[in-house]
Amino acid sequence: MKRIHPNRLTQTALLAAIALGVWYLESLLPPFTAVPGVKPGLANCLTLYALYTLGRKEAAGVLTVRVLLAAVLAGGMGSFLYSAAGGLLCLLVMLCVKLPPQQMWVTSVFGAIAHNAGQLTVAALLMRTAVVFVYLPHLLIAAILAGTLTGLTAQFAYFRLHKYTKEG
Amino acid sequence: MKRSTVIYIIVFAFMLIGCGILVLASDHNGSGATATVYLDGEIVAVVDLNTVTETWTLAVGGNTVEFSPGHVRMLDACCPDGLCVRQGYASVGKPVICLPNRVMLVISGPADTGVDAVAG
Repeated sequence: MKRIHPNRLTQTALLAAIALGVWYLESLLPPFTAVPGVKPGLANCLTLYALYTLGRKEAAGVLTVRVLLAAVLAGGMGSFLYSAAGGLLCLLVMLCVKLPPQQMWVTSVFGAIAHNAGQLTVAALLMRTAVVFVYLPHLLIAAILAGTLTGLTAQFAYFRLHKYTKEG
Repeated sequence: MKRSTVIYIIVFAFMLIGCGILVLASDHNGSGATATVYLDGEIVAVVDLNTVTETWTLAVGGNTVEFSPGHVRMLDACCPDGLCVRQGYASVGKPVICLPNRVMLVISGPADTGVDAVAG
């Protein structure tokens, strides 16, 4: 097995730690709307940043560590299912639709849409009804707005920070 | 700006407008219809809201459902955020859904059964 470079490992761990902190701070915010699942998803900035600066495996690592630790620290089984399904789908879509850094926000929007679609599917399975899909338009609006916000945040960070964290 | 960026912006803008229209269109007035209460995907109660004359409540899976003439809503919920309570009265196309307790209030079209209030 190829050993991971300490520099990359440290950066991945740091991003995962920041992601967990951001996720916790966001969880303290009151709900934005009466529709469940509408939130900014700021922790995805860190996954996105890891994807563009480090790579696919590192982005998957940041997401996995954040979702697992968040479930251990704060959430129960129910919220773990939601965040795991949403996070996994979001990651898969962002890996497939990885556009150039200038269009990072577009990748982020696609990821956010996949995230909300995944959460809605989990909700439909848990509730054993398709009625929850009435929230699809609400969640699409939320995904486009939140995805643009987090994507632009990661994009600005990428163009300003990446030159300092490059290896070598 | 790259051409593809412009296309993405236009596509997302159209999706926002389309979804906005869907959200607004789904907001009907729900009076004069049948309310069905679900718990874990199973029907707990079916109430013809036309026949409700005075307000009464029903405890379902940690939540309290309130029936009043022509309306139904989640009066109280034991979960911390209480989003379903904030959703207000249910209407056709706008059900009230409590994800943590898996309780759902669905309004369907005008009742044709003539049954007053059935709980089963």
